[in-house]
Amino acid sequence: MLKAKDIKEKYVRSHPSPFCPGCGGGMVLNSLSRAVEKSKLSKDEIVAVSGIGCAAWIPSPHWRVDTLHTTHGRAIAFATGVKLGNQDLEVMVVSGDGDCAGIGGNHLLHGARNNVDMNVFMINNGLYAMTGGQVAPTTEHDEETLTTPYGNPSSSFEAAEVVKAAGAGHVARWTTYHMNELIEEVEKAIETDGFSFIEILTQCPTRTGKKKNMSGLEMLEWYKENTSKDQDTEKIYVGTLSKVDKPELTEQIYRQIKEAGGDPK
Amino acid sequence: MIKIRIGGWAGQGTVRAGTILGRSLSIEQGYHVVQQRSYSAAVRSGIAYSDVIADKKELDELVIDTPNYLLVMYQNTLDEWEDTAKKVDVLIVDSSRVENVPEIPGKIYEVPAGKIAEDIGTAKAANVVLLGSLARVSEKIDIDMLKKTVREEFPEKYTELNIEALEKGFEEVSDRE
Amino acid sequence: MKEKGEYFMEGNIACAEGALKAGCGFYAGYPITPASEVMNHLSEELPKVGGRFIQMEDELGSMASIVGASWTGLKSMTATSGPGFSLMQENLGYAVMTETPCVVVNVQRAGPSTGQATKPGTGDVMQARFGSQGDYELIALSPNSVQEMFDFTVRAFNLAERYRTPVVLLADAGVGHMREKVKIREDVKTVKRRRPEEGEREFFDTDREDHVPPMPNFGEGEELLVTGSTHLGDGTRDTSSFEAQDNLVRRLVDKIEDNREDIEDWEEHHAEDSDLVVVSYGSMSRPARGAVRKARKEGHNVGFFRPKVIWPSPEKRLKKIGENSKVLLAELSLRGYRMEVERSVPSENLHIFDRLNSLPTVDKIYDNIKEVL
Repeated sequence: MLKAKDIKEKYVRSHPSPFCPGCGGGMVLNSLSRAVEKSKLSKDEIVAVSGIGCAAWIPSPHWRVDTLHTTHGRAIAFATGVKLGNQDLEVMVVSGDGDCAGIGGNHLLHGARNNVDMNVFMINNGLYAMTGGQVAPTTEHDEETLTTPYGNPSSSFEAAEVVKAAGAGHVARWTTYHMNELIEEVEKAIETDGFSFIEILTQCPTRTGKKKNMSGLEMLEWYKENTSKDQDTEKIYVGTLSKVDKPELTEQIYRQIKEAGGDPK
Repeated sequence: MIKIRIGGWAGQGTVRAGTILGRSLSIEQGYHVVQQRSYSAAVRSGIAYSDVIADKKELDELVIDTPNYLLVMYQNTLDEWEDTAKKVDVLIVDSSRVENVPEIPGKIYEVPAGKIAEDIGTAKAANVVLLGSLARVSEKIDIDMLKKTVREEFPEKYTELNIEALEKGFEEVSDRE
Repeated sequence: MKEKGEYFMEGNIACAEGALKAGCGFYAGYPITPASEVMNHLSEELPKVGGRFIQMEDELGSMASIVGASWTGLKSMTATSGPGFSLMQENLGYAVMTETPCVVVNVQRAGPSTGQATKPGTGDVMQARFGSQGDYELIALSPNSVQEMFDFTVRAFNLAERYRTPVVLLADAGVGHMREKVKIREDVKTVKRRRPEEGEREFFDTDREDHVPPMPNFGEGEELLVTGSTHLGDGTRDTSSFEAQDNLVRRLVDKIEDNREDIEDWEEHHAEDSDLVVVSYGSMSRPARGAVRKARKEGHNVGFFRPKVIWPSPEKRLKKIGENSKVLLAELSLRGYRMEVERSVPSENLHIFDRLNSLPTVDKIYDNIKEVL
């Protein structure tokens, strides 16, 4: 196993980090890199696709793999083109909750329905952080944000449950507190031939932290106290939500090409 | 320049007939041809039609104002087009489905295309019957080339039926003259 | 894919066949009238030649996925009409910024908004050029026959690959839905994007005169940085410096502007020495050309000019024509190409024949020519 320093050298570009002190973005990058290192993947096979927002900057430009930093909400659609274009590539989508479940919600649903082979990491900090902390589809009811000064009149939805219902092959939820479990889940995602969706609850000390008067560390503590690997508690469930076998899109399309007499290479 | 319009109720195969005619004039007879189709949804009362323009010279006329030949397969279509019908040289109607034909200066041919088609196997071939009649009426349209096109356009199991439809339509008009 | 020969074919099918001949390897689309036939045809034919076909959840996704696929080395395409073209604009701009070769077919219909879905119009001419945010140039071709639906689709792919840029095939329902004879040749010339030479690491900048950097594929170990943010030559995002913005955006514009000679294409007859020149494009240019022919036969001194490549617009040629003669712009919209022509032709020399909903007959334009003369 590579040491932290070696992981950084191999997987992280030496650009200055844009992340705020205490941000969970770096922890996600670390987990993804370690999972890839543990897997059989070569990093030359990886294409990291992201949209717009803080989370989109986790892979681009920091992850030392092929990166496609796209438009707001469309990462999964771009990634579908990449995967169908070259089946041998391992496609990783890193997307914030607003990017993934808000503006990009339709692509999320249909990526899951298609069960196209990619790993989608939804970095959930519960609001739009890059633009100042506005309400997101993942913000709890009554919660105050920049644009819900009287409390969120709407309710949040459980993106992971929605993706599960849409038919993704593999759905899980973890937090940045659960680094080891997360790394294992990412490994599982890499092995899964289908749409893997991992929601990662991630602290944003700058936006959420300030509102709640919590530091990054305190937020990690909060994740520890308020999550459970047992589904029968009131706490937020962390772990695998779903693992099903169903036809994967790229495989199906390549098979049809061959049956029609073409060669997809 | 020949300008032909084939119209009827959506589903009667008017666009199909236009395509066969257009292809025959273009590929087999060497005319410059433009064929336009209309959507049923785009036209009032479910009318569907197809326009075919053919010329020996390079063709830049893409639409028909007044056709020389008007083929009508349904009563409501003719009712709708009464003004146009009064300006055409030749009107051919499927008399199985068009009973009231207005008085017009041009020539009228009433061909029971629906009934003829039914007798030889399927009412669906009424459009092809009318093409046969058109080939008899217009010396510019070659029935043998239409037959050749039908052989290429239709799946094998329908070719003989449609060839017969062409022939019957062709004969029907001559019988009346 | 059709073999060499002559076919009586619909414009949209000819477009799809052109894509197959050009070597299209990826198509993503979403159903829309009057463009769906392109997709319907490719769904069956593309797999036979090894190409991937996918119907996406919407046009945003269609445009996004063709960009993604292009970076795996495939020639990629989508086809749509007005409403879908509007939805594609953001990712079309992304393709411009990331210099991603791809072809976007817009079979224009009568707008604005839902308009008349089966009726032709050319109201998207300006949108094709200015529809996405920011400063940019792109290439748009304007076919006026079924043959050109085939030929220009091939050329759209070639230009996209040659200049690493999205190319719009700006068709209209007139040419998309009509059938004519089309000749399919065996020896269709195709172009492939320039790949990096050994040691070449700048994929987003170049000193070359044509301004076109080489393009690697994903999966080749280049650790590519592809981003719609302003970036340096190696792809590194630079969201603040003057140099990065100035260098990149100027080069993207110059890439089209400085290669005009290779890109531009038009048809003209007696455009130099006539009292009146009819300027038209797309399906409308057919009856317009017919009217010019008729006017000349009747002894009138009338010429004809048609941009086949509508963006970049042949502005110098238009200016020259407008200096020497009256111009009658005939178009299937009120605002389609008008402002571009107004820019080149003095207002006292410019006359307009604009029409909505459907093509006019030759006589209708001929009558207008006589009025203007």
